[in-house]
Amino acid sequence: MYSYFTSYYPVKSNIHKLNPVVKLICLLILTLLTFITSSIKLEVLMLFVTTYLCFSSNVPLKYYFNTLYGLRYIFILLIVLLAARGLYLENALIILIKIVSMMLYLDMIFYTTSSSEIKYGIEKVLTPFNIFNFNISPFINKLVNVIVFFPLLFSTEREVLVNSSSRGLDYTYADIISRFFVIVTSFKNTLRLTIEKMKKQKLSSYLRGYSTSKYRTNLRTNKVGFLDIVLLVVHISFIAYFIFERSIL
Amino acid sequence: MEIVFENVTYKENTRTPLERTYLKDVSFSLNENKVYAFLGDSKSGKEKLASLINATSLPSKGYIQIGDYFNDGRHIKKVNNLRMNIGYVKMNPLDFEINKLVKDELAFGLKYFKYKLKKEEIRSKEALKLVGLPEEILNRRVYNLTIRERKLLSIASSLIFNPNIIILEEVTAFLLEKDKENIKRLIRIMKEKYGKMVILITKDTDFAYEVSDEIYLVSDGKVEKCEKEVLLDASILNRYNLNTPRIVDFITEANKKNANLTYTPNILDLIKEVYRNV
Repeated sequence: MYSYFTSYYPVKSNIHKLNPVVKLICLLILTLLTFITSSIKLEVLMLFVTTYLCFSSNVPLKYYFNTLYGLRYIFILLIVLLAARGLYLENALIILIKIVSMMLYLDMIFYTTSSSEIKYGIEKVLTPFNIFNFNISPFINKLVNVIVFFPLLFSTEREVLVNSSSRGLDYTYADIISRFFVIVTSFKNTLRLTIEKMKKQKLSSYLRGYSTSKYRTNLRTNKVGFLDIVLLVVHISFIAYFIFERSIL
Repeated sequence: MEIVFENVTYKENTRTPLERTYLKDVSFSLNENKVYAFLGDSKSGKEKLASLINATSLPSKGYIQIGDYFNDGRHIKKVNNLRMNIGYVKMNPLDFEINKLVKDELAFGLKYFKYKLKKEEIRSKEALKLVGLPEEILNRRVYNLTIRERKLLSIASSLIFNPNIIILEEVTAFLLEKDKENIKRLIRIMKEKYGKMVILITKDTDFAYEVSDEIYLVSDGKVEKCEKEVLLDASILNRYNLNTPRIVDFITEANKKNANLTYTPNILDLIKEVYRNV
């Protein structure tokens, strides 16, 4: 059953068809702007575009809401901390919008981009740094492994919980304290099984000649199309708006 | 222990683009200590029957009664009392195993079903012997075992807590011919000596023909009870994308050449039949 965060959601949509390199560049632009801007107008604009992208992705909105719902305690804690520091409502609102916007965008990227496309995208975005003798390839591998690790961890945890349930360590019908105990008990095994699976994946990638330093022509990815250009233009216009606002100030 | 499926529908990812119905309004009951075989093509929905009996999945509609317990989507009190009566072996042992060491894997059920742990090692050795694995592997890492050994280990891990119902999903996958013979013997002992119910979920019609008492054909989420003679009818089995058992094929071909053999479920009976008639 599909239900875990950071997994690819296999449906057809215009967002799924976008080129992974363009998606990653847009994510970089959005992340950068989220960190440096303090304009509520720009934040709301970015949140609006992000919400539109989520809506067009054909991924049920409940999955996006689930992620935000999972962060509810962090939101509450943040509000309390901000109130304690005597921050104005507008500033607190900006910080909340920033977090929501980033989480939705990351969700949208993970739900609409398969792990091999993410790998491809990261390679394409970062390999130019190799020419400066930065030896970026091992870093790319590590980054990709970290990204691939979490969906695998969640799916393995699910398997472990079902198997533990059938052999006496129940999760399905347990109360919240027992569930916590079950997760803690099974986490060591989940982690070990995930690492074993990662090792197998690494070995099979190696056996099939995978290398980040090679240019791979056989990987099927979506070509840059009209929608990619539109998305890129929208994100560049955010930068333009940011510069324009700064120059006025 | 009786198992009753009453108008059971099982769906996953409801109200999303990935919604899929695995079982559609299924009703049947298994109430004797026999070997029941659920035969069907891949993704016919048969594997979901096991998780519903084991109460690791909840039905979208209808209910499943297992003894005194009801799996109808509501909370099941003392669910472990239900699950300790059901030994469930998955097709792929890699989807089943949890622990690092073989002895921990075997003892997992005993530990959480609260058996007396003093007898843990004796029971572990007995379980290994039952499936034909050597005692020496007890302290080895599960990861270092072959896929065949892992499959046998998963069977041993499910049998160790002595369940009344044993669900075997594609039990012959990854096994050698001698292991299959051992499993057949084990199933017969479970049924005849200990009076247990065995549920086979499989595509392997050869195995089902030899060991099962009742046949259920599963296709597109529908479950249909059939006579065992259905395994002799190639046209019906082809409709369900199943092969006729090899022994049936052999006898049918021989009878076309006037051998006059009666259909026997195993090779030894067939040899006797050949001696008698040919």
